[in-house]
Amino acid sequence: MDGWEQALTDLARGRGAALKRHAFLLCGNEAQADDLVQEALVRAFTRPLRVPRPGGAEAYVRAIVVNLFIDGARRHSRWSRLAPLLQPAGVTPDPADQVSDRDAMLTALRSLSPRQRACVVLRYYEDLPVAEVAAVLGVAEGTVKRYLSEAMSHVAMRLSSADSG
Amino acid sequence: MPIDERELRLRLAETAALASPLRFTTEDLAARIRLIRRRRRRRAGITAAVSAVAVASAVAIPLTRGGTSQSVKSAPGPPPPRLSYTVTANGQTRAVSATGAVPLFTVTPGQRLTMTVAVTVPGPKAMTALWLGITNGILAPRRGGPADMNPILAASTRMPLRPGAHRFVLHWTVPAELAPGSSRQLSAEWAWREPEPGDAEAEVAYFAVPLPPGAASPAAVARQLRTLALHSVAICDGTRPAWIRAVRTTFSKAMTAVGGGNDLAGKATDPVYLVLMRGDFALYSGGPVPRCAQAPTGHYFSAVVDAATFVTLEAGLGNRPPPAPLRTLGPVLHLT
Repeated sequence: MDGWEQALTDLARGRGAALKRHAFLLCGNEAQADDLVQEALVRAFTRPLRVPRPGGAEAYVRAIVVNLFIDGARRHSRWSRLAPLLQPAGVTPDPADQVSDRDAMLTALRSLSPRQRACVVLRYYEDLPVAEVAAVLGVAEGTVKRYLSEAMSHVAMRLSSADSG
Repeated sequence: MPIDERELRLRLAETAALASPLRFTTEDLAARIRLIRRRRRRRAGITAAVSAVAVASAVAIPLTRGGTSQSVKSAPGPPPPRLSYTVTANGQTRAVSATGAVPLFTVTPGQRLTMTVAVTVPGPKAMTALWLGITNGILAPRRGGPADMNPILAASTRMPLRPGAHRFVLHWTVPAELAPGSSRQLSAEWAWREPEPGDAEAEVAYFAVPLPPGAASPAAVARQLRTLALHSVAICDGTRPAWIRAVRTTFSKAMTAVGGGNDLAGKATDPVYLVLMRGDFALYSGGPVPRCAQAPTGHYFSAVVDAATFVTLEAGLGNRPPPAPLRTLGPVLHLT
């Protein structure tokens, strides 16, 4: 087995579940989370890289997942405008989505913009400092703080209405 | 009502726990990555071989196809057809003994080539279709015809090719814009129906434009290597690298020196330059320039560069210098 294959196997087997959870929080969808992780791993390992520090590969893959998610969300927003015109009548919603919808936190996350969601996940789930969140997303620290502030009030409102309902 | 950060972290963790395990296997993923890497390696290998072999610009080679060295991609089917061919250019026709390896021809941009290709269908099953054409490093066999040949030089699709020998005369003009150090391939794609429908594609010859002689002068080499190194990474702190050094050695020695694996079979003794650069870098893999916090970063960038074509065969980034000092490999060039 080549070095990269060993690294891939170690990462996918050892940290695959964690990467999936990270992707799941971002996109809120099982299948899409699988796709995000798979695509991120492919992108990370198709080049002959020697990752310089322990854990570097995982951090790199996480960053790719975030960027893939934001890029995908941008494309999805274009598609969403057309989808109602193309979707046949009587389409049954994905049962997995219905189960997920029961979770108030997931619903609250879905109500955020992709960048706000990424900020919340990176800051409060991954525990990254604001500066690192800004670096991953390629925005200023002030922008991250603004996203977080907006997201927090939005999430609080959603959760409180869900809890009271 | 504001939300407590601790509560938010807790609820995020609970929500994340709803995710099921990954639904794909590491083996499938590794197979997909292996395929992509193999295609990239082959492209690098083809170009790197351009100037390593000094052949006349017009040669002719009969080639026996088949065996494991060929890049045949498909589901199991009949054995690959044995192709033998000669290339005639500028009135010269030459024959080369069959080695099983894909032959390499150096050509000049705008040169008109005439190739006579003799295809032997081994039988007992007929081939339902055969295409011969020019590819650019990527083979993508597809039922219903090649998607990656441009131009298609010959096609036999109306009648099955019966067991036996079939001859095709091909004409191709090397693109005038083909840059020194780059190459194209003559490839064959064939399809069959029995025992299961399938198709396969393989490269049968490489045509490459060599680098001009002046490119090998010491000053030109230094300039080229320095440019390559600086274009391979994103510089994080905005300052120039502390130093850039290079040494001429062989592929296997260079790979041993940087502590990497040697996965380019058959290239062990090929001359290469090992380039080493000290600074504050982020890895740049050909896409948009990465933000330094997003990509792997390091203080030492190393690249193994083919000495004939200046194609980068391997690159790496780390926080420590390679285990073997450059001076142990030969005279060190200072490129800073």
